[in-house]
Amino acid sequence: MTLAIDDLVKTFGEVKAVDHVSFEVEEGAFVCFLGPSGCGKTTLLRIIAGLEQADTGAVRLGGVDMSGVPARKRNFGVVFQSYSLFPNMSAQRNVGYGLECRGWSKSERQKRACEMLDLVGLADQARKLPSEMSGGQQQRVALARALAPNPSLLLLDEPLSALDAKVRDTLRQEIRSLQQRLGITTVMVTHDQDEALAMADTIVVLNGGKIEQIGHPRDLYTRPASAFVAGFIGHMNVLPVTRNGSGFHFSNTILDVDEADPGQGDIRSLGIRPEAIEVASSHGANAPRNVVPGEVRAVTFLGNLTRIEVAPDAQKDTVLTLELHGACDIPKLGDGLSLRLPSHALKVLP
Amino acid sequence: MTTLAPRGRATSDAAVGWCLTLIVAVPFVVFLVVPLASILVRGFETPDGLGLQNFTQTFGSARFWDLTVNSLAMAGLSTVIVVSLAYGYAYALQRTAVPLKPFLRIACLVPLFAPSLVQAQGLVLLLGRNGFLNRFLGFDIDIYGFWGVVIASSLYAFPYAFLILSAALAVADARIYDSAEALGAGPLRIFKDATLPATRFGLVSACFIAFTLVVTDFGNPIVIGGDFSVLATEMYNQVIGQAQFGLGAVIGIVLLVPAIVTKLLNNTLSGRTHAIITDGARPLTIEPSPMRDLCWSLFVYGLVAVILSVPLIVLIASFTQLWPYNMAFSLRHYHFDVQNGLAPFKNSLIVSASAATIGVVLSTLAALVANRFRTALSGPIGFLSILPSAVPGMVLGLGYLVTFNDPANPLGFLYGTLTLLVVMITYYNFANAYLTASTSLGQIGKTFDEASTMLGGSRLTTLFKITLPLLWPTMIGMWVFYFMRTMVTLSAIIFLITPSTQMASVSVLQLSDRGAINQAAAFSICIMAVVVLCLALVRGLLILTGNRHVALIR
Repeated sequence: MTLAIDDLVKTFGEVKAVDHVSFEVEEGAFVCFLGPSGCGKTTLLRIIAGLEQADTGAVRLGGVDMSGVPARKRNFGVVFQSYSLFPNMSAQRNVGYGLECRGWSKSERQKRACEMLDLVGLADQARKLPSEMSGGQQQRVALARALAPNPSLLLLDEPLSALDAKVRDTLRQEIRSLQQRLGITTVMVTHDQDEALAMADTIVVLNGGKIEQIGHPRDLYTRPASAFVAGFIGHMNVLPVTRNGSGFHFSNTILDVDEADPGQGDIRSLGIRPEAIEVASSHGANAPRNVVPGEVRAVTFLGNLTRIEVAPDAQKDTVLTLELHGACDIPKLGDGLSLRLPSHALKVLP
Repeated sequence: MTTLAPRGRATSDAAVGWCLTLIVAVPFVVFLVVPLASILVRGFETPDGLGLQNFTQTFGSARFWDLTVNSLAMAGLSTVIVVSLAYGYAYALQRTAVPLKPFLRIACLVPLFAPSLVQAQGLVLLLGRNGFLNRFLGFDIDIYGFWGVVIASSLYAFPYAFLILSAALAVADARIYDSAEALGAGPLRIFKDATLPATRFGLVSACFIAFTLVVTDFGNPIVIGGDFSVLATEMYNQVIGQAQFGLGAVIGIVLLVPAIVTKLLNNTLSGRTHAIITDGARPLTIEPSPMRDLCWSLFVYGLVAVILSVPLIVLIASFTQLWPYNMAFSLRHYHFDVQNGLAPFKNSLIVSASAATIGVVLSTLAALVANRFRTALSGPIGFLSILPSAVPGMVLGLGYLVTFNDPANPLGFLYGTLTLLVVMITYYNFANAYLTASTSLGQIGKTFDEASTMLGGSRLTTLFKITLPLLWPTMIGMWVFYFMRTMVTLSAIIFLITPSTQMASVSVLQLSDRGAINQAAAFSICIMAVVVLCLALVRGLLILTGNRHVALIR
């Protein structure tokens, strides 16, 4: 069923946690709320779940306004960040709990719980208590528990952030494939951009209670709508520029930008991703267009890539970051280095 | 598969919240607010209507001021003694390597398991006219009076002071001690500049609690005080001896003052103690140091010998033919063929078990209403739940006496029944149980509630399937605490005792009063045996069910 969020507002005292948020989620889609802590993403999820009341606005599921429906009657599945498995119940009873609340008979509950545990690959752990399972196993049981009553919507509140990196990666893929197999509309909250990029069909970037941008992960990366989105999803070098006819001036370098429309008005900054910056072959004072001479300020070796920070000679406080992949000549600290900023990679930032 | 909506319930969640609220709130008004209010009213009631006559009469009499000076001097000195000794004892257990710490920890808590007048009882057997020292070792000590009360009261308050100071000394940041040592500070200087400041809140708190316990205690002064009277014994004499309820109420109101000050101070202090230990703190490791440990061992083992000598001499006396004339072994005092026989003991068991059961249920409900099922009355219920900790037992008892001994009270039929004792004790110990339940609920966290809600569970389902199953070990602990406190209490029940509602601890008092020391000793030993047995059984149960962490003695 389609989930529609219509002009939601929620304030806590002076703070506007959710500030006039509207969007729609198609049936079967996986949507991520992404943003820094305090951006209102968890509050938004809790309003959808019914655990929090919005001041104004509506949550509609399949066209039906949910505001009069209490949380426990919404039939939504939720997986919380902390392992919220009931510590007094075995994995199987945890999974069957939602069915118990719906008046299923014991044998039906057990059958369904076993099916669900099998689905998350834990059929052999049915009798164990949560305290006897690892964090990853507990979150799998929590997922099975949320899915067992066949919910109309699955809500995931930072489900992976308490797990260690390896488990997080596998579980990320498992959740995504399970979601696609069941075709269940899913909303996940996360502050981890990698997680959002890897899992979501659509990402809703939130900042200060407002939506910054909604879109497919690839679109958000390649065409960020604001400097905030650009900086939050991946790294983006931001260059303050002045416009002069067809070209942009970054200090004394002229930058050509493919996507710039001459009709566009006031443009003050350009962005470029670290991996798009190239090392120019020659280094000299008389630099050609789109080449910025500078000095290496920091070199960080990260295994498969090396991150280099370069301070442009003409504007030393705007440090540019670039990433060099594989084995190549790694410049040393203090070396002069000219950077080529390809015209196709330079983005106009609003 | 079809979408399944959770099953509907006739009762809405809000209705459940209000139901629980009323179950807690109504008895609160009838059995706590009204008795406390009536003691205030009684204080102002005179033959010619309301007035200050009782106060002017009391405050105008020289005897009242003598008694006040007696009380203050006795309680003040006892406080200094008990806090100093308990600090040393707790320090030795937390900061040195004295041997057999688990034994020392349990041994010093033994007075908690005995009726609250056992200290006086034991001291009389040790140092009294017919006591062990005078009779068999040729001493000539007169223990009755000021010093007797001071020693008995110090022994009585010791475990309470120890528990607070031990907790205060348990937390320490090793980094501070390491740097003090590295800077060249000697042991005394480290104690003065690091240990003492870190435990000052605990010290102040222990002082006030010890003072309040001692100044409102009635059993020890009446047994060993002789001609030396204090406010608490005077209150007893006014009410029981002369039926002067109004004058008794005035003294009761005076005794409320230190108790309320202690409560307020404790609330302020407990908020500050946490700030001392920061994130990076490293717990202290204790290196053995032969000389230091020997000195401290002499101190703690000397002290524990004194503490244990009291129950020990009572135990011996309970097994002798006729103390001190015929010291032959005898079991005849355990036949309980005096007075009402075993009836007081049975009453004590019934009242303790009932009060513990009702108290645990009500205080858990109160904690649920205050923390989970919030309604408009949650705030007042939270306040009323901790109020009893500021009311001395004698004061609450007198409140019950004036309220329920009143023919105009429709609940007057409760007077003279064990039921009223059960109710009174339920509220007397309410605060401790409530705070324990509240803390436990806080630790359980709200995520489980939310998870259950999202899975379609109503609040009642959540309560019975999730919250209560997680809370039961704590509730068992609360039950034992209630049971223990009720078995040993004297001052709370003394005003409600009638011939048909005798209690074991009161029997100890009356038997001692009549000179039947051996039977009194046997009664005391039985009370202690039941309490210790109960503690041991429950501790075993908790260990078997994997709940070792639940504290039984607080």
